[in-house]
Amino acid sequence: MNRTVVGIDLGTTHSLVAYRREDGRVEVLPDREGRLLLPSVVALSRDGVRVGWNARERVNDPETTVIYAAKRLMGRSFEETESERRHLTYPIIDRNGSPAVPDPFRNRFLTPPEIGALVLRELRSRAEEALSCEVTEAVITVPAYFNDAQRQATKDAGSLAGLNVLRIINEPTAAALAYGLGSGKDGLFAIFDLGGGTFDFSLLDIRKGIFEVRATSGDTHLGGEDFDRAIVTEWLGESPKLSSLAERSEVRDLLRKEAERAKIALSSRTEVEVAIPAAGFRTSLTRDRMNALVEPFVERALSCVRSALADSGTPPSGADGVILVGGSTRFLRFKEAVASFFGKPLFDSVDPDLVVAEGAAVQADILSGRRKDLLLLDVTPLSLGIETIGGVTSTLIPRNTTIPAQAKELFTTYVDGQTNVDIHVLQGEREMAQDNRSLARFTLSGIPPLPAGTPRIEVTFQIDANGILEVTAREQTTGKMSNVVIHPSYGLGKEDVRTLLKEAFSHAQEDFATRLLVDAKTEAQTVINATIRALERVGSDILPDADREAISRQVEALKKAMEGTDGRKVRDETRLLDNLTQPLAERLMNQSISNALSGMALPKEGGSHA
Amino acid sequence: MFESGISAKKMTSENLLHPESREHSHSICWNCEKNLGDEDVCPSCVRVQPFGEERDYFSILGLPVKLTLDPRLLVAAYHERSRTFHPDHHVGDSEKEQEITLANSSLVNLAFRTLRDPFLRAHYFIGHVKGEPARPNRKATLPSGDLMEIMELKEELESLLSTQGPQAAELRLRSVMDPIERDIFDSFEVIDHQLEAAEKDEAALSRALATLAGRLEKRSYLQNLLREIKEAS
Repeated sequence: MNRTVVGIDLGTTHSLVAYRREDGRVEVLPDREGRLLLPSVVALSRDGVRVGWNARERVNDPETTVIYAAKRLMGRSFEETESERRHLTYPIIDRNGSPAVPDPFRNRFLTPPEIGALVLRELRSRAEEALSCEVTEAVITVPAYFNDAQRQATKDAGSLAGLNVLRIINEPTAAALAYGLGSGKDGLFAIFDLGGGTFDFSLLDIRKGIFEVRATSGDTHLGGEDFDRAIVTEWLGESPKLSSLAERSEVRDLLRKEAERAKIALSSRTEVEVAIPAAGFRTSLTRDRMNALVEPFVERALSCVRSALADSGTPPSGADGVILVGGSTRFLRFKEAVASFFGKPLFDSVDPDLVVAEGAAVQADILSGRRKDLLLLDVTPLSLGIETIGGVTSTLIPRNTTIPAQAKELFTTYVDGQTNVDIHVLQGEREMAQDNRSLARFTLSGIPPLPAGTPRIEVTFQIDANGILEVTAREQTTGKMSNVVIHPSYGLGKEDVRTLLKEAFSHAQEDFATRLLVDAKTEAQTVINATIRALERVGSDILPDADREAISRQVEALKKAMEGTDGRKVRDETRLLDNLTQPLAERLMNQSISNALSGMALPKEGGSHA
Repeated sequence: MFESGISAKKMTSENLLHPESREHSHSICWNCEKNLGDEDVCPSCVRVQPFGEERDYFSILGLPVKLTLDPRLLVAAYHERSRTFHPDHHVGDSEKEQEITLANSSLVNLAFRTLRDPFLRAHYFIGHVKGEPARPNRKATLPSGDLMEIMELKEELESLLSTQGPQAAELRLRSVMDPIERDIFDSFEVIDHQLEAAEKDEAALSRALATLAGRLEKRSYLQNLLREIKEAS
């Protein structure tokens, strides 16, 4: 059997596709121009849908909807994405509880998996061209903190792009696979993945082609941004004026950027001067002071590490090497802390942009069935169990258990003559069921009525190599059985995917007037949102009350036009509002504020795996 | 919760295997029906064979039934078995084979997890040698003398914890735990020897196993105290 399975890093800012050749070389596949990265950007305009570099060029084109960082929306409900949406400048609407981006030119809405599919489709055709064969199977990476719904949404994106996703693997694991294979060294490796807002740690044992994940841990709310925030808090304490200005979010943004710059500068210097003339603020920050400020966060990361080491029964000295991936591991203090904790040299020479895709290609190669010299033994990151009397969690499969895994346990009834039992499947480390995540509930009925404590009900948990859990309950005297396969709570159903596949990208010509109206309404909503946001942020020192009133009146006029069906009217009112808010933008104090109004700027943060 | 609802585990965990019997359930291949001998992969058609219900963890990993295990050998055996049975190496195989590899590799993982930890291994070993069901989740029962000792230690630790902090408490607890763990390890070789002896002294062996079981129980109580201290810190 000769199958071509590729590895894909579907990143927040960039995506890549890699392939492991017959001779064992792992190669990131370039486009025709020789570029390895593909910006995870989709541009919707009248003349077509663009993906990647061509889409990114359209960033400042007012006639185009430029969608970026859609990974942040993947597999999440509209509500859950609230804080993300604030940073995204393209329109996102609530569609049956899920976020969706209107495509006014084709009278449709794009869900995050559909946006991901556009990027994946591009990578797929890039791979097909580079390898000169059809590509229909892939391994895709996700951040370790992604929950089941986010993983499922990523899989859906693959299906929509015509890819059978053989496996979803964690980015730090992929990085370690690539690193371990590249180094050709056996040993126990500690892998740190510190991004902007999340931290993942894995302990990986590499021996003769077997990559055994010994333990994983992490903190979904710990990252480089916390370091920056700690510095900002320090500055606010120094200047009451600054701290009153900082109630405005764009001043906060500005401060955060300054803090980030200072943090980076302090990697090569021991002291930096910081000045924000607009706020009359001037200070200096020493490396020692900064290190003291970020210490609590470094300590939090290390406590995750301790728990993973304890789970696997390994002392820090047992690690043979430490691998750093993720943009925020470049931070000097973090490196020092990690080096002294393990007393081992750090490997940070791997190219963080490429290494995740390369690792995915290694796992893709294993799953292609061509090769039995390599094997990844992964673990389940969270404990799994059921609820028992009193709302207590009874764990059947503890976290960091190697998968596939099976566990059986006997339970019994609580009440005399009880004929049903409720099986409530839970995920998490907490003692009480209500504190853990509920995965599923099902009932086993038809238990013969017997005194409490007499029936024998065997509960079996089976996790397969894909991490999918199946729970079975069986009453032993009658053999009555009931079971459930745990499906994620969000994401698309199989039927949805099939329907979408049929519909995908083959929309019929729409009636012109409808298109114009949808188009105009979408644009109007974008302008209204931006205006309201701006009005909330500025005070009367920047915007005189009379101007504010005029703008508010025009917002109302536009809203009224939107209730009707005249696309042209909506467009004219939008233009009026646009003109009214123009002077406001000019008056704004600093560049960050005008950015907030003009909209279409890509975030400057680096790293494709943030 | 009233009518339905499931009660806490009052029952002992189901024994996955029947100890002492080391014979494989399969003697002919499910696929080609040729004789298998002792193999887990059919020598004629190279199909993987299901582990029978009676297979013990030692035999699943192809290791001798012993308390002392070279960790390097254990890991090597585990990796070798994983290469054979892991579903990722059987992606394109038939449904039946996928079922077998899923069940087998789950058991390989469970066997490794159990035998890797010396205390879990000893616990499993005792059940296996005595032909009693392995009951990983049963509530330990301690002689009243030991129980008193542990209660007193617990009080002492609590006061240490509040006056001198978790490190002092852990140090004190370790001073009790360490000698017990040493005794446990020391008895491993003795028991292995007794089992290998040409003429077995059954009475001495069963005494040694009972002593080991008692120490394991005591240690598991102390281990719980240690966990509580760690959680408190």
